[in-house]
Amino acid sequence: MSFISWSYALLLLVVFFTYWRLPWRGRIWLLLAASYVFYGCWDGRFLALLLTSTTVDFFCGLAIAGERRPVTHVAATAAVPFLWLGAYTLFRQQGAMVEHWILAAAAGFPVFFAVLYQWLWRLPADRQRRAFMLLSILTNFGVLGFFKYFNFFAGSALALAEHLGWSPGWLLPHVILPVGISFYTFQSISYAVDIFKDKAQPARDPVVFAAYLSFFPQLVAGPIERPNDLLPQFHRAAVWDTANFHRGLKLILIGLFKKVFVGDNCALVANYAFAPGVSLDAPWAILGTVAFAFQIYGDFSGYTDIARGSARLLGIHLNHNFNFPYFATSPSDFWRRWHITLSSWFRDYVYIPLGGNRGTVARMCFNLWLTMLLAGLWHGANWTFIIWGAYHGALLIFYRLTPGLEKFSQSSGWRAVLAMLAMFAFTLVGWAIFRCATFGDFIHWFGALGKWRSAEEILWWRPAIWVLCHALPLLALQFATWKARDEVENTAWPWTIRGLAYAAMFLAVATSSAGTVAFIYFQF
Amino acid sequence: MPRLIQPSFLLCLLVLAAAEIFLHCTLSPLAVAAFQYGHHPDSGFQETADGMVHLAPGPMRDFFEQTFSRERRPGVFRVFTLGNSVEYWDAVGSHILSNTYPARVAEELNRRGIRAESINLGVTGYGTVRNEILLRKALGYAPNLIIFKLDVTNEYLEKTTAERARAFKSLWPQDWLWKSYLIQTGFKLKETRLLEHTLFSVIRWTAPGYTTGKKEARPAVKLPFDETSRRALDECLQLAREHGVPVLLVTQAFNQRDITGHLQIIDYGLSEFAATRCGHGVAMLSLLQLLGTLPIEETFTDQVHLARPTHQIVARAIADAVERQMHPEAGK
Repeated sequence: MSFISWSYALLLLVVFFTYWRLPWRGRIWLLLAASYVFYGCWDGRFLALLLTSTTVDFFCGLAIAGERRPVTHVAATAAVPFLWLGAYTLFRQQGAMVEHWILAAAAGFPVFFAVLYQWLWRLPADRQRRAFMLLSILTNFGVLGFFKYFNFFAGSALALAEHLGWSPGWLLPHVILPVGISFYTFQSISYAVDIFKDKAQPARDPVVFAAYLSFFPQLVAGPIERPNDLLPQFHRAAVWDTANFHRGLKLILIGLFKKVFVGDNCALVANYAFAPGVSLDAPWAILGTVAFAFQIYGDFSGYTDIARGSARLLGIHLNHNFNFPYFATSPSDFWRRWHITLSSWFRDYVYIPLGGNRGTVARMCFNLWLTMLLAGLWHGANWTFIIWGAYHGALLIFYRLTPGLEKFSQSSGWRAVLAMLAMFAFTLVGWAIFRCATFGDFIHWFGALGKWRSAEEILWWRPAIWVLCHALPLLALQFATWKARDEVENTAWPWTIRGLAYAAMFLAVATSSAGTVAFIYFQF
Repeated sequence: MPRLIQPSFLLCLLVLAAAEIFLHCTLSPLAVAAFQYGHHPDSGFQETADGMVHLAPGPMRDFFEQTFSRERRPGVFRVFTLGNSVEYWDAVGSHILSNTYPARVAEELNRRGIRAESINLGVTGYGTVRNEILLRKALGYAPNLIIFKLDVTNEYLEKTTAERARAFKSLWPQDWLWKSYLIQTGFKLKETRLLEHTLFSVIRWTAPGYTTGKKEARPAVKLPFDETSRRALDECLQLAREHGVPVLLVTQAFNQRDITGHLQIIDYGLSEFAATRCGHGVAMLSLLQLLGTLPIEETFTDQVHLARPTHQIVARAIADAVERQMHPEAGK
């Protein structure tokens, strides 16, 4: 179910009006049901995967905290994913191709987990906690790794073998990527690790934990929440606050504006510039990349705003994910502003455990580069994403190692503007890598930067006006909210101006039916 | 405790409501009819009591102004041409009916002794889907021949306008916003004032059905239409057969530079596609074949539109085809 659909609006309305009439326990059940309906609308079979993560992480979380549940309890809960899958496939056939045995194995894993659970409790006490944490991490990485990367790595290996003259003739099983798997598995991993590090307390109620892990506004594309931020909000009944209600509605309106008005309209130009076979010249290569920069920002930050606004209507606060990323003055600054919950996840759970800044300069560079490489791989099973991660890793290393750059990027006045422009240019190169389907396409794009004179039939400056018409209102909105230090409105403006601004934004969204464009980050 | 309804939110609602009411009071029925984006079957056709039909230029169906009798006069070979801007413009920036090939077809036939009248139903931006609606109307006026232009450049507009027209008429809650005059007007303004001037040439080349950009020598797709257009065309041909009216499919040609920078004429496989539909009252004329040997710079005024002399060449080729294949039908 997409946020840009009437079915989502209906779901949110029903949940909103029911939610505030229910006691705490009822709200949790309502959120859980709504989340599963939200996710199941895409493909109900894959709820079994979500249930698998939920089951394993719930009991692992408790075990890491030293709490053991009765075997009957574990076994009964562990059967739920498999029973769900069985019941679903019995009553409903789904079109999307995936081998049945793969899903059955994933849904049946918790049954094996129930046996493992009993066995791990026999380990010495000092090793139990670590074992349960590793089990949780491996389960989540196992699910993520198989469903997201199997096709890529197995396909690449097969292609390499065939290139070397060996044709094993294997038929690879068909695996499709479940929506949101990268997000909820990362949230699960941070849950287990934070409990292990005594930074968080486990959920003791399976329904609360299931609602926490599957909370529908942030289930399929984040923000990736930490247990200490989100879980406590599920442990107590939210209190109605009219300010939250207002803020939620405004966030949703801004999110729709970013997604539908900015992102989808800029996509029209970006799709053309990056279409296979198009012969680019420099102005088109730059224009296409600028359009994509605004498309991906509008798309993803718009999604995040709608997610945060929806949660806010229910009295639940989700973390920021963006902080004016194109105003960044350095690579480090960019990653503090872009997809904040993911970059902080990689910082806390990959970079720091690898050693972080400690150790030699070479070691720090390796840690940085490996972290960014993995962050690139997280975005998708494609070499261009890996190269994109490596590129940003290289930028970060260059920034750290070059004397004077840090000081320059932190200066003010014209130096800050220059640093901002330079960082935006580097970001654009990154987006070109990100957007190209293959590395060959990127080489083609890069080569076009040298072609300033060509006999293009389609003039670049007309579409550039289109991009400007959609990007400038976004920049104006960002400037106004940045100046006011408030993410949804400039309270210094008179209420009349704000009212007219809302009306203009609504009209901009409603008259921007460029065609429904799926959220980019859904595929990750 | 803040108020549930903030003054700014209330003002926003009031402004939107006032604008909606204002448009309801001021928009003419013609402008409101335009919200159907040419999907209203009678839009642009004005039948009078004296048995005549006037084609009136208007929003979303900007016909050439023409008048013809509802009933075909005996002995007259009546031709309707359904197309797009190529038929509407005799050259880019100039639209004089008598210079367009549909009008010249009648001249050519008359010169050859076949009494003919030709009605040009070409509308800028139209594609197969909206031409199907026009065809249903045209078949009611007893044509002897339908010239049906096949093109692939208007599919994006066809889709979005079809969706808006459907939503405007729909009673489903998800379409309620599109019943608003304010939103329809805003959408139309954005489309005609901004999109068509800045982006039209881009989106038409990345419309569904294309796998390539503007400069590839040969598209990978054999069937250039998307599923909707193909279905619409098949329905058109079936409809014409049921009425016993022959159809001449004219496939559009385009000029583009190949990877070495040389101009060439291509048609995105339209001729091959049209050939699969020929037979049983359907013939075709490939502009790729007809114009392929001519100097490109003199044949086109831009990538798609034909130069004025080219209209004459096309008209002559159509008259040849009529004389050769369809003459026995003349006057019936």
